[in-house]
Amino acid sequence: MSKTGMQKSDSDIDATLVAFFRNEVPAELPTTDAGTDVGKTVAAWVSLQNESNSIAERPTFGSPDRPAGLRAARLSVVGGRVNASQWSSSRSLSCVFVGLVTLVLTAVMLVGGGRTKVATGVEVVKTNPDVTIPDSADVVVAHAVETVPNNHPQAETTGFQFSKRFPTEDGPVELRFKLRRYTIQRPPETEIELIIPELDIEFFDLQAEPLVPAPTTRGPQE
Amino acid sequence: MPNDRSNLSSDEIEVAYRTQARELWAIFYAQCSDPERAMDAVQESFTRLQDYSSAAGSEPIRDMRKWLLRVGTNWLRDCARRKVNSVKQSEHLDSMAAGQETPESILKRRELNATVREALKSIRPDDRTVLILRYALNWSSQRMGDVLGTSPQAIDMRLSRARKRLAEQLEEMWITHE
Repeated sequence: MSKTGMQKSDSDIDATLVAFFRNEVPAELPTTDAGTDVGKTVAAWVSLQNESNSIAERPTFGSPDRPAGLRAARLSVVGGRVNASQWSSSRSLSCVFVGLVTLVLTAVMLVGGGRTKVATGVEVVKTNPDVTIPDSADVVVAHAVETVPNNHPQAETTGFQFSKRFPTEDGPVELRFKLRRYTIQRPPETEIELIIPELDIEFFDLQAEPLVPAPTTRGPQE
Repeated sequence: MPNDRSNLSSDEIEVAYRTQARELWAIFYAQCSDPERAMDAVQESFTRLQDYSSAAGSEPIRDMRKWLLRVGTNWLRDCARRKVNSVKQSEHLDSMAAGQETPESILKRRELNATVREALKSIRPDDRTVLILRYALNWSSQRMGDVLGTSPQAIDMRLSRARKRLAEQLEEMWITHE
């Protein structure tokens, strides 16, 4: 529908509203129509289970296409330098932490070149722009354990954030993760891993591109 | 969904989420006109349901849907009072990064959506309700009529009038804007 000021027809408005609500309704909301989103949920879940080969949990609230109840954030960094200006986060995770939950983040950095699969609903910010992933590195595996208090004060308004420093030959690389709307229900003190699929992070060529500091607006870095 | 037990299983809550979350979102959306805030309200109400259900000595929940609605509505009211900001999705950045859309087209779409959102806020609540039920939930006129206690023909009439009034509102906003 154009902004011409002319009277719009019923079908114009109909088309506008269809397009509007297509964007407006959160994708993670389930539909009640069997065979549509439910089927996709199951398919995505099974596929992910097969892929990870270690998942035995069901998706929880609001996780039709990215099961938030997953248990490991697998960060596969393929080549180049982590540069926050080259990518953006995808949609937010849908999770709710009840009790004290421990996140185990497993990050796997594979040097090679190209794009990186990381996580849906996670913002990753490299806070040390001077650190590079050395070409000589083969595979860097890092583990982090973060404790998430119940009803984290940031959870309602800005989303919970946690970060992980990766030791590399050039020094630590810190990646910051921002989650919101947790739907994971776990007993206190349960260790979980978050697997957060399908966030593409673009990397630019380490040798060819200038370094651009991470465009953070969250104040001083840790 | 009548339920006289206080301890609901995770499966029961999950089933409730799958069957009711979308409608709850639409109801909350109609109240706040903010998709993210409405989604937060849905999540909040189910989280509190989980907490309440697992707490010892909780009173039985007789009507889960009403309970969820009340919790979400109260939460929205609290948010409005405290002027809490929701986290905003950033898929437009994803689109840009992936090269799917140009920044210009993204901005254009966002502007149009913001205008439609404002127009929806400014029309009568009755009009807004039928439009949200139809376009956010894809409900048929028959189903809307059942819920709203009227005939499908009357719903069609209401939808047509609601669209007309929304169109007038959009015209006015665009003329003013330009």
